[in-house]
Order: sequence, then structure tokens, then C-alpha cells
Amino acid sequence: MTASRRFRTRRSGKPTSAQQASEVRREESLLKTGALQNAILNSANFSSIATDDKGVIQLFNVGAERMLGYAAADVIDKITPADISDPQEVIARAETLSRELGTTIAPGFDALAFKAARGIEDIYELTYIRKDGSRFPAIVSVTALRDDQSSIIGYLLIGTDNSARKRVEETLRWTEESFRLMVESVSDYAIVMLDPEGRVVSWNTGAERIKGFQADEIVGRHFAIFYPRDDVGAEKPQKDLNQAARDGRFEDEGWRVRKNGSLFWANIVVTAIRDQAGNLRGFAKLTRDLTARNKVEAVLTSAKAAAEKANLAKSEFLSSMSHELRSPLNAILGFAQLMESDSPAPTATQSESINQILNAGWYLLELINEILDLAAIESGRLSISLEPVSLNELLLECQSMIEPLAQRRSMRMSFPATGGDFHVHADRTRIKQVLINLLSNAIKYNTVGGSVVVDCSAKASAGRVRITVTDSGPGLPPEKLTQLFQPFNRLGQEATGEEGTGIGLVISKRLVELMDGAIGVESNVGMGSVFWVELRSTAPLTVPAAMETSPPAEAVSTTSAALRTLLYVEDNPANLTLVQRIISRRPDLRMLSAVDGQRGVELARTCLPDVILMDINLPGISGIEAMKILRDDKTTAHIPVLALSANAMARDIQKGMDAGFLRYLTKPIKVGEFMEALNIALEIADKARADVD
Amino acid sequence: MSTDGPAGRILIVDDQVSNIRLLEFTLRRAGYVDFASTTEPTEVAALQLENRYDLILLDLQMPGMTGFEVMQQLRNAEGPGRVSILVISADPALRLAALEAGCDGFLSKPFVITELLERVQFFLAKAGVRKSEKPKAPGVEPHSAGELPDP
Repeated sequence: MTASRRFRTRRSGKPTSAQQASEVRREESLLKTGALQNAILNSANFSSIATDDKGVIQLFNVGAERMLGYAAADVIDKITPADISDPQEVIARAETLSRELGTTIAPGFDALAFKAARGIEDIYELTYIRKDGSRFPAIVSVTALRDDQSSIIGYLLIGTDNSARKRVEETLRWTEESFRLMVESVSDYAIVMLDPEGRVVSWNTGAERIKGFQADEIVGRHFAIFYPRDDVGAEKPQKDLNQAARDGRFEDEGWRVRKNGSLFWANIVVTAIRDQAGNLRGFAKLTRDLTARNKVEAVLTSAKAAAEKANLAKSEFLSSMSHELRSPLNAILGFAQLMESDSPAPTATQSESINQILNAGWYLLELINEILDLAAIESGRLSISLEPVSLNELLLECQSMIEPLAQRRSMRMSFPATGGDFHVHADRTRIKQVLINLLSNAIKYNTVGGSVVVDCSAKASAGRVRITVTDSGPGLPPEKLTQLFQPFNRLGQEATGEEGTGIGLVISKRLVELMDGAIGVESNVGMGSVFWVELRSTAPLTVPAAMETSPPAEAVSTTSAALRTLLYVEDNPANLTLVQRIISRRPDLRMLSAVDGQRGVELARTCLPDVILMDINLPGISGIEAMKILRDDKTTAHIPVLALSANAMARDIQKGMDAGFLRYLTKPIKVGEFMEALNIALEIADKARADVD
Repeated sequence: MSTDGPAGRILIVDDQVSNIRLLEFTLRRAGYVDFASTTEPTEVAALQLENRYDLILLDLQMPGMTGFEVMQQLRNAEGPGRVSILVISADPALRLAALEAGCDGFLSKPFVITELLERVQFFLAKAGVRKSEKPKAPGVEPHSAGELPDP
């Protein structure tokens, strides 16, 4: 204000009256203008520095004081703005301007005001130096101040502190630079930017490595060059881009071409890049070379195929070995059996020899069977069927099977007293195999005149039942216990002359585990051994209470008074007994039974029963398979067959119905349902018989 | 075993002479007299037409012609008098396939002699029943769960 007033005062002459009138308007206007200038010049956020025509500071506002640390009095009439600017920058600017304008400009205030003095708008960046010597970046706008005759009377420099913007710019530059360096240095992935038409815009190290082009060879060329000829013919490159543009992202796996024409198997992800308005700016394309992975996969696939082939070959070999061994063994064992029972009877010495042949022969057969068993388990071909099994019955069967061996060895055997019975969830045939294995081991590896004790106990907490086989043998040291369940490890027993394959316990362990059970041993040298098997306990199959109280079912009145025959194919004695009890209330029915699918089919063909009741989980041939045989045989195809199974899954039932069963009943037996199904089956049988008659 | 010569005509088919001898010895010891044997599976159908056996003891794996093919020929050629076939094979895995092919019984080698004789008796009894044209075999006992080394 002061300065402008002074300028004006210096310029004004003596006014006329007309001039006075206009002077008043101008004053008013100037007052307004002055107020505006006042506001601008006193702004704390801009440094406003006015100089005379030589550059000497005449005005230094509050903003300038704050930014530069000088008081106005420190600088006014004392220095020029060049004195508070970085001298190096002032020199550099003088040189640049000299070159630009083709004249020599001195490094000083001239360098700052030269352009403004010539009416050229001039805004530049420079570094101001504060009174305390610290520096900050500033943006400075320089304007020439002119009098009414357009003569320069001074300069106005308005500056802002540029530090914040500089910091942001620096950060941004650093981020962009880092990102660019990162992209460029990635060598495992080709990262390529494409313009919206598909021309290459940028090219990183990975792209160079994978595709073989240098950046200057490829930038600007269309990316279709990376596709095999057939794909280009099918316009795949454009289709891929279209899809990326439509969906935002496109992923593909396929062959691509290198510079040298060779192919590589690539994974490609193309991402569309759009600006804030949604306009397509181009594509980012990420390519991985999967050729190596593909090779590994190919190697793995072929290794797997080879292993499967080898496994098949092994199975075939074992099967044919089994056949080749069994044939001659049949003659050996057969003739030995004939000699054993010959008349006149063999002498004592001959009998001894014959016994040796028979023992060795049956042992060899056992060996063959165990090896086949183990192979079946290991290849996952062995299937087991779980159902409630009564331990009383199971142990009775085992006892009768093992008794002869125990007697030959003079072994005292003790089985749990019948009474309280446990039922376990098990495969009947396979758990018997396990127990026989444990029992025969307990007898064979015992001391002369020793004992074997079998016991059962509930492990109530876990809902499991434990069967223990305790022998009075020499016991095992800890280091041998760990080897017990390993194949072909006989723990030195091969030297004792005791026969054994060394795989019985291995098979037992696998079988028990297939039944969701556990097997183990506790032993001490000199204290004997305790082998145990734990299985899930389950509810027994019982005659339903309703049936016990109901009066005997009346014989269904039928047109025929003839006794009808029911054939029940079932391997579980508990089920046989149960059905027998139900049937005993039907005087018009008698029951035949078969313990496996083969015998069932044989009996059905021989006896032509009126109705067949078929268990599904049978040893050897399953109920489903037996059903198929019966259906395909015209002599038995007409017989109605009911399925009775512990498999109650919808899938199992459907499988049964597909096989052609009349009804699929699930265990435990519901008497009402069972009787109804039986009556329907008998009606069908009667009708079939009437048709034949 | 019965000594007054149980009825029934039996044909033994096996490519190995030792197995044929074993079956012959066994049957003879058990009192059977009316049996024949061949190592040539291709002859079986013709022999059956000519001799009308009641029971054929048939091996499965034989060179030239398998037991399965023999069964097919027999079943195709036979009239109302259906011969019983007891397959005796060294491959227990063929049990199901053999039953599907139409055999009446399956026994795996090596066998226990008493079991073989039980089966022979069973099938001949069945043939006897058919000959007397009764609709069923009364008094056929349920099979017991024989504990044999056969798996």
C-alpha cells in the first residue's frame, strides 16, 4: 500500500476540476483496489516481494517474512531477491536464458526478472534460502510493474512454498520408478503392456527371456506374433483381447511362439486397463512359461502309468503263480490224502512221512493264500463288509477250528465262559481270520505244556470291545515288538523250524484297521505275550420284543396247502437263528440255508425254493452277484428274491433294486415289514406255479 | 463211502494227467465205477452227446479250449437232460465267473477229498431226483459252514 501510494504520489501532477471529479471516482476505485491489494499482499501463505526497477526490495509482506525468516526491515532497500535464492540455481538460470534468448544475461537479479521485463509471463521453480540458511523449494511468479507510460518501475515476485508438492512428487516418482524397475527386472514372468489395438507398448526382462525378443525389436508390433499360425488364422489373438475387454480379465493356457519359432506351453492372463471414465487404455499381459511344469507332469503321468502297469503285472503274476502252484499241489495233497486213508493202512513210519507231506502241503497253500491276501489288501482290492458279530459265536467257531492244533501241542486253551455276550462291528469272515492267526501264533510260539487264555472285555469309555489272547510263551523284548507287524519278519523264528510266513500279523493288522479297529501287543521276556484286538461295540441283532409277545402268526391261507420252501443265504449264525425263529411260527414254511453266495446259487438251482432271502455281504460271491446269476439262469429266474442287508444307504438299496430284488429289507429285521415282504413273495411264487400248472 | 457202487455216470476233464489220476483213484476208492476221463476239452461235447453223463468234473484252464468254452458248448447242445457241472479249478478268483457261465458247483484246487466226495454225491443225488421226475429234492440238508483251507 505504502509503495503503491508513493508510486502514485510521485507520478501525479496538479489536477483540473474535471480531473478532480474523475479523481474522486478513481480514489473510490483505488480504495477498492487498495483493499484488494491489501488482502493479497497481507496473505500469510504467499510471499509477496516487490522491488524497484533495479531489483532492490521495496516491499516484503507477512507471508515473505514467515517463509524466509527475515523481517521486512532486514531486506527493504538492502538486497534483491537473487540474494535469497540458491546462487547455483541463479547461475544455471542465467546460462539457460542466455542460450534460450541468444544474449548474455548476468547471474543476478536480471536472471530472475529478465523475461518479465520483456513482457513474458514467467513462473519458475527455485530454491529460497532462509535467514537461518535452511532452504525450501518455491514456485515464483514474476511480473513487471509499470507506470502509466509503460515504463518499468519495479517487479513483483509472488512465491509459494513448494515443499509439500515436491515431497508428493518425489514419493510418486520413487514409487513409479520402483514399480517400473520391479516389472522390468522380473524374469520369471513376461509382463507386457499392450495398447487397445494389441500393439506392444512395454517389454520386461521376463518377456525378453521367455520370448527371445529385445524390447526395441518388439515394441510397436502386434502381439499376434506370439501365437501359433493356426491360432492367428482362427483370429484367436483378437478374440482373446475382446474377451479381456468384455470381462475385464482373460486367462488361457496353450502353445505360444518364441522369436526363434519354437513353441512353449504358456499360462497367460490378460487384464484390461481402463481410465477413470471407463475408456479402454490398453492391456496388461502376464505370461508364464509352463513348459517345464508340463514336462514334469508328463514324467509323473508316465511314471504313474508305469507304476500302475507294474502293479497290474504284479497282480497278474501273483494270480498266475497261485494257479501254477496250486495245480501240482493238488496232486501232492490229493495223493497224500489217499495214502493216509488207504487200506491196508500205512505203517507208522509211512504215516509219519505222509503227515509231513500233508502238513507241508497245506502250509504251502496257506502261504499262497496269504500272499494273495496281502497283495489284495495293498492294492486296495480287498473289500470288507461290516455287521454286528456276536463274539460268543465267533469264539466258539474259532475254538472248534483251533482245538485240533492245541491238542496236538498239548496246549491248555481257555475261552471266556458263554453268558454275557459282546457284539462288535466287524467283517465276520475277516475277524475270524485275524483271531485264528493270533490263536495259532499263541499255540505255535509257546512253551511245552503252556497255556493260551482268550478273554473279552468292554472298554466302556470308548465304546469298544477288547479281545485278548494271552500266551505263556517266552515273551518278546521291546526291540522285537516294533518289528512284529512288518512283512516277512519272523523275528528269528525261521531257525526254530516252526512254520510261518511272517505276514500273518501284517494281514491281521491291515484287516483290523479296515474294520476301524486296532491291534497290538504287550510282552516282556519270560512273562509271555498278550495280543489284543479292539473293535467298535454294537447292539446285537435281537428278536424284536413285539414278536415275542405277539401270538404265533396264522398260517396264511393260500390256495395250496403244500409246504413252501424259503432259502436263506446268510453267513452270520445270529441272523440265521433269528430268521429261523420267525419262520418257525409259519407251519406252511420250511427254511433251507446256505452260508455263502456260491452255495446259495447251487442250492437254489438244485432245490428250486419258492422264495429266497439273500444277505448282501457274503464271503466270496456277494448277494448282488448271486442275484445276477439267479436272474440269468432260466431255471431260477422266476424265484422271488428278498434282500436282507446291514447296508442301509440309499445307494446300496438302489443297487439292490437294480439287481432285481423284489424287496430290499435292512437289518435289524422289522418283523412286520419282513412278514409283509415274505407274503408278497409267496403270492408271486404261487402265481408263477399256477401259471406253470 | 458206499461199497455197493453208487449210481451215476461221471466224466473227468483235466489237461493234467496227475489230476485225472487223483480223481479216478478217489472215485474208485469211494466205490464209483461208471466214470471216464479226457485231457481233451474239445471232445467233451461229443462225449456228452454219446454217453449222457450225470456229472462232469471240469477244469477251467486248459490249453486249446477253456472250461468256459466247454460249458458254453454243453449248454448250447444239451436238451432237457441238463448235466451237472462241478468245476474244479486252481484259481479261486474264477469262482464267480464259473457260476455265471452256468456251472452247478465250484471247488478249488487243492481240495479236501472228503469235500470232493460230498459234492459228487450231492450232484449225483440231484441227477437221480431228476431222473425220477420229482419236482424237488426233499430232505436236502442245509449246507454247513465247512472250515476248509479253501478261501
